[in-house]
Amino acid sequence: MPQATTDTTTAALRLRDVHFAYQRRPVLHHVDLTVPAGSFTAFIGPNGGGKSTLLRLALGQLQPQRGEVLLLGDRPERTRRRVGYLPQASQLDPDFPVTVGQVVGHGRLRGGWRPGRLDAADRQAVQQALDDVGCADLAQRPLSRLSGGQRQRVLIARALATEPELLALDEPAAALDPQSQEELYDLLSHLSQRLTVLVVSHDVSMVSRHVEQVVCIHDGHLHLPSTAAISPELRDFFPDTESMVLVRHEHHACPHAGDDPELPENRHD
Amino acid sequence: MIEFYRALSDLPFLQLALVAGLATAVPAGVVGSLVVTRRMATAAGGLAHAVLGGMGAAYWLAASRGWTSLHPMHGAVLAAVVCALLLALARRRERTDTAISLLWAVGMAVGVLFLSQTPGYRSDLMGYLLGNILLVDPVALRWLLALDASVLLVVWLFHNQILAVSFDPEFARLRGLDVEVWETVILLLVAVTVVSLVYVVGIIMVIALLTIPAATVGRFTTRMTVMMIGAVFLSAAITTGGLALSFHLDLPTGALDVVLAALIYMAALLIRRRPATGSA
Repeated sequence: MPQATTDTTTAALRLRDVHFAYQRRPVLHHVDLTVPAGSFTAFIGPNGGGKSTLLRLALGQLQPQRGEVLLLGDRPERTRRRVGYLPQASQLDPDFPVTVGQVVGHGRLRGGWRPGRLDAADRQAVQQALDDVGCADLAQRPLSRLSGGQRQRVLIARALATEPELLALDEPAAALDPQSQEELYDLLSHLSQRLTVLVVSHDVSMVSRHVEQVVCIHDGHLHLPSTAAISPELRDFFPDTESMVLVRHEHHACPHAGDDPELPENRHD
Repeated sequence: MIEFYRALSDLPFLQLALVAGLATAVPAGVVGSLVVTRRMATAAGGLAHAVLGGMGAAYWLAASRGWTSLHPMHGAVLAAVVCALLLALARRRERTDTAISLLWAVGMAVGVLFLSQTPGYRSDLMGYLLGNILLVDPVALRWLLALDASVLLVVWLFHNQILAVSFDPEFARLRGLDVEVWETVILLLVAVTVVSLVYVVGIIMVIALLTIPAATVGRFTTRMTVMMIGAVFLSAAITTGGLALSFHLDLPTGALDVVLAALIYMAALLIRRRPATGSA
């Protein structure tokens, strides 16, 4: 199993002393973080806690006020085209009149003023991506007619159509029923065998059954991987606590973390 | 109806109006589908009203400065393009609805000021405000056809980019698409379409033809291409039907177009609910 590492040659994502604030409201402090290439990693924490901010920093959609972000070994602006991205479902109009094939085809678009028509290689990549997520027969279906689980699979296919080295998903299982969530994470586990998968989620119990490394966005100072910094309850959730990284945020992200005497903010001496 | 067909063969101005109506149906259907699905009706309304500034300036230059070759259409196109670019810029620094309101009001105000300084009574001014398809002359028709061609060419060539930016701008940006540039292109398409619709339904009622046909067809399809083609045909039927009714009833064409479109939309509401969205 890939472990947290400081070796940038095998790091899909690396943050060094990153600080970020919205206006004057600090969200992330002194974040040092490495996501190993080939790993299945989750950023967990409550809604509004800073998980998506961390992802947006990683993708270069936000700029840190301090520190450095390296995505696939370089600045995110240069490398983010090698990332397949799935935004939160709530950001998309479920009634938008597009077919599944068109949506997945968007993964083949490039910048510039070239006409956006897909060539034979693009169409083959689209079909392959749909095959990978088990939606090969849905290409002509309108996106609005799909179930929530099917829609998420199609959006993952769009990300796969970009032929990414890293797949980044923001709350991919939100608003799905338990069975669809399980199927989705099974799919992501399968995909993580051939590319790095990075998931943002507030659902600790779901990610704990599938991912290899967890980054917990937690109220407190930065905690490097250390079993001593993790509450006993969290150890139950994540047996492999060696692979856990705790990062600061403004709310109590982890169950009973506020009771943990090992955390610096809970020490009163 | 037979009388209308007879008049069509006899009266060149009616032929011109029919062709103009059909010509405006093309961008109304194609761009109207984008306006409806992207929820841009207010921006379209702002651009439509701002066009009066350009038309007023063209009138004033023609009447007071001797620029007699200047047609109100020239001023309308220039004003629409400038306002679309301004709106694209302003949206990065200001709330969108505030920027639209500014363009809406300032464009109208500039138009009124220019017209107040223009000598003589402009009998055709009310036509531009409330629509009068019979105002279309050969110069305006050539412009309408050129605008049609440019809208169709851009949408045909860059259909996928426009769709991708409209559906998920964040993903499009990660793919390397310059989302701000494409948003500006879409605003320019709306601006150009607005100009062509001013002749048919007038500045005040442009939003109706830009939204109602596309919204009507949108109740029956979940595909953008079908929505665009269907809205083109429905717009053509509305402008032709409005012209025929206007001929028989001696009522303003633009207003009849809007009422006709609204009746068809209400019938669609009764016939079919919007296509259902899948559940989780």
